[in-house]
Amino acid sequence: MTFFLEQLIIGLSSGGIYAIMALALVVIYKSTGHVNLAQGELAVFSTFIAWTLVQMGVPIWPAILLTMIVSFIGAVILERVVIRPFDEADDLVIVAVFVGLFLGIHSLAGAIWNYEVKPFPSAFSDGSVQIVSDLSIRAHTLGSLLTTCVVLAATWFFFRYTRLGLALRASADNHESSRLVGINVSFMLALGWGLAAAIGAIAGVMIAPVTFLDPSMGLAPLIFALAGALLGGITSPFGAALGGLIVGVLEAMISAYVPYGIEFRELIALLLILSVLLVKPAGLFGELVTRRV
Amino acid sequence: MTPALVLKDVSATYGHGAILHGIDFEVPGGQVTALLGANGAGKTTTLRAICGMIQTSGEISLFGEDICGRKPEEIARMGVAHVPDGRGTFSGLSVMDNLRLGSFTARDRSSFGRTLERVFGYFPRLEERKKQHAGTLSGGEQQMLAIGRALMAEPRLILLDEPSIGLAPVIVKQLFQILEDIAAEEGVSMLLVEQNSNLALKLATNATLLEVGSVVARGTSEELSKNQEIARAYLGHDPAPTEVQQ
Repeated sequence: MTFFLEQLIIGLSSGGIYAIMALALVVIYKSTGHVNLAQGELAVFSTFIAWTLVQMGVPIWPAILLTMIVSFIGAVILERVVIRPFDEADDLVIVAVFVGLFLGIHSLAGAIWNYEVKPFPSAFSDGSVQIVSDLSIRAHTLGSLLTTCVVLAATWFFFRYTRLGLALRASADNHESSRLVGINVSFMLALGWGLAAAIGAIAGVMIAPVTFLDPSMGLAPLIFALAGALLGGITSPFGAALGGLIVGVLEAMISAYVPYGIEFRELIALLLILSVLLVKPAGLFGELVTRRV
Repeated sequence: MTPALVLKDVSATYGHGAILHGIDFEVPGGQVTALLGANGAGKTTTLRAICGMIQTSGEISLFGEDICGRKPEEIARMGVAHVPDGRGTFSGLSVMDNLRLGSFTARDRSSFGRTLERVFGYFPRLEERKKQHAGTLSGGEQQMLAIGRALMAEPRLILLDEPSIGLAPVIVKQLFQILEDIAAEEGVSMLLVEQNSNLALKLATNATLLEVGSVVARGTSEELSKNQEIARAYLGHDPAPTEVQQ
């Protein structure tokens, strides 16, 4: 039983990180209508910035905050320079641009910080927290779970209840009508990217202490986050985050209980993506937009 | 009273579609002006030129202020609400969110509740469906939502692009009745593009007739509908009420 609980919490914790990544995907999807395949790489790049700051002697929390700000600004510029020229392009072209962005950021991170695996300090204490007599959990695991809850609540509130959140949703839904009601769509697109990068940075600094930091760190989380977002529904911040958590728990359980489970756990992400798309394309909580014609 | 809108020698190119060749007309303040003409005459293009969505030359002044060459979002903030061709509803958003977006530019945010009440007064159906996704509304309801959204902006000028299109005759009749109420009660100037000229001339006080990108006639609604030649050539000869049209 203790072993099960331990696995559950580990699963929830890594699921929480997928949930944050999934949220970053949802933010860009909801404000621009694109699935940013380079989101994982952006998060890794942000984590490297945080790592550099920590190396320079900046305490971890200010370093995270500063990283979020830098990521926000960097992503706004990236959107302007790299994505904006393809605003009117076909979906296939957009996918190609994102793959290019993925490779570009990956190599840039490798070129600047090399491919050596680096340890990354936890934002929480290094110790463990005793839950019951024979169950103790690492503080980082609990801390990242808590962080997930905060980020999730803040994102949901932002999109649901603020003017800016509404304007972002409107821009994603219909560019032309948004401009006609006075929304500066071009600003909103950049804002969506900035927010997603800041959220992604949080995911990066939460996962790096667990997996260690290297330029390839972002791939697996992105795949699991994408599976989670699709499972929960990529139009719904709540659904996508829940999907991320489910994927995390599933991953932990399969690794723990299925023989050779660790070897093929990434396969479950693929199977999930496929089955969701086949059975319920909008995801569990997504909104399949019905239009009358 | 300053006219709501004055177009002087306005030309526009737009895709492969209609082109405007230096058109002139005026929308008097607080009145409804109809912009008539056949398919491809440049009516929609004129509206798109007014709200800054296409490259335009010439002079377009809104209550005395030149707006030619400005961005659509700026023009919207200056008090122009466009109900576009195809209604332009935010189909993935709720009816309520659509209306909230309408008030995005409203200068006085404290009046949101009162304006919303007035819009629900004109269109009770929107209140019943306020939580529904706009994309699931019927065509008539979407048109109501588009007009409601425009009213939420508390605009000085409303541009209406073919509100009757694709709607059943009985719905069109209701809609135009409501538009008449709005025109009477809100004091807002309107520029109405319509193919159904009988309907349009009934609502409007004056009208401009376009043919392949040029103005061919202008006058009060009465003058235009009485002019036999114009009526025969451009407005459709059939003086019978439009309900019988299929």
